[in-house]
Amino acid sequence: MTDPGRSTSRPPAEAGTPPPEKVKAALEALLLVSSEPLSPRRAGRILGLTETEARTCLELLAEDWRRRDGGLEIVEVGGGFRLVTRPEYDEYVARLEPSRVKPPLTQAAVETLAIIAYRQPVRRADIERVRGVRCEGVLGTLLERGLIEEVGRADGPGRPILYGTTRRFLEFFGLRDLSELPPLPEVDALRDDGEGGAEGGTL
Amino acid sequence: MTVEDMAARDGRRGGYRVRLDVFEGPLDLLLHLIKREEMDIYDIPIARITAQYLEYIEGLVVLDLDLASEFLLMAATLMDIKSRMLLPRPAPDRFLTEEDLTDPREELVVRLLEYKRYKEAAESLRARAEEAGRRHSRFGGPGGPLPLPGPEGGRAGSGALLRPAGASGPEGDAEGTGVTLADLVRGLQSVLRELEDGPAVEVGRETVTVEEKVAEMTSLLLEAGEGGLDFIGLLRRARTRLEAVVAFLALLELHRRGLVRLRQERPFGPITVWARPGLGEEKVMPA
Repeated sequence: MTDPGRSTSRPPAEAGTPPPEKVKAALEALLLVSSEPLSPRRAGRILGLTETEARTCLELLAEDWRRRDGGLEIVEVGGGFRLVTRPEYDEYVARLEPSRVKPPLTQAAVETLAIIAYRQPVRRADIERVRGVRCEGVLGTLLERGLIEEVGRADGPGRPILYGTTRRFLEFFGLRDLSELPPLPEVDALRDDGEGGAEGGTL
Repeated sequence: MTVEDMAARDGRRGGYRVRLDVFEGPLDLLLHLIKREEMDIYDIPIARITAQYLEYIEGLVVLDLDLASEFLLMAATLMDIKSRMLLPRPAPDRFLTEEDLTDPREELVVRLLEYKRYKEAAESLRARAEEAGRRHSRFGGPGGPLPLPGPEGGRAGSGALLRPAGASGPEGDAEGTGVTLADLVRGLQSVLRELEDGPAVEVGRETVTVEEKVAEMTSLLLEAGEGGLDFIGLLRRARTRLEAVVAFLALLELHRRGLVRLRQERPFGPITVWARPGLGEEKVMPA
């Protein structure tokens, strides 16, 4: 179906290159071991493929796993691909390893994250103005968990810190990138229920 | 008896059952009231919502001074808007300034709507997080574990707004005086019941900070010396509910810093407040 061997702009592989029929298998091996989402760029560099080729192969591999209908699947989150358990087996995974169950985010944490996600880069004062409460504590927690980071300093008095979301944030919310954020409700549309809509089976 | 017990008992007497710590802040509380009362957010009946808001924060038991000041600041804002709405409209032949033409509620409405947008966006994000959280990688699942403790989400070192007295309230007085947080709250509530809202115009821009009250109480307590002062009496000096609440917070703050001693001779009896060594020394020369 695909023959990644024909590309002309292939970067030099770091070492040998798998034969074309073994590329998907090699990617599968990388996915099992990768502790972070595997970006097509990085996978391509390792296997001597272009980024586009690597992406195509990863998507084909994901399709294989989908068709296989097993306990695992390949999803694209936070700028890369990841081998994960299927959500329907969450219950059993949780019994095996209860520490895997994440306590739900607090309302303060999600609200603060939402403001940062949609308005980044953003100053603490801006977040506090929207929420009407101080956010120091929540920001500290979110920084500690790696969901947000300092992305710079604003001009002006005191050169306040600017915050933005991290790749970990994308992973946490199952987003490929920031463009996948559910649309921010318009002021006129505030009677919407705010649920669903953006939810889909794309992951 | 814990504060929760008290809250429940008050509820049965027809008071307010909803605990303030379920709200993320004053804006959240206002949105709740607007929804519950089926008010039009673009035409908020300001007198009604102010009254409701004040009722809610009346029995406010606060260990988190930041949060308390935020709720109180909003109370002051509401009263300010209310008073401005009561002002007579300028005569039609008079030159109208921009302020004359602006609805005093406008700024608040804009803030409420903006907050609501993000609150709803937060809901969809939460749903996404739940979905993503059911997929696990070998490395702890997307995003990894994220233990955020308590309902306040790590808000500056504090826990819930309401806590069982004695358990983890203002640290139980080492001298075993038996004064619990519940006793103090009962005192506050009795004073609040006595204080009616003054006319809105009078209280409009009046704000007392906790620090100012701390300073005031410090000098009163130093003056009183060995005799100490009656707790209720201290709160009764307040002219408005807002001031009484701030006075209460100031007292809690002093107690937290270990600068006052509280004693109650018998259950439900009067509570006396004394200065402890160190009170006032932040300003005066070290003794």
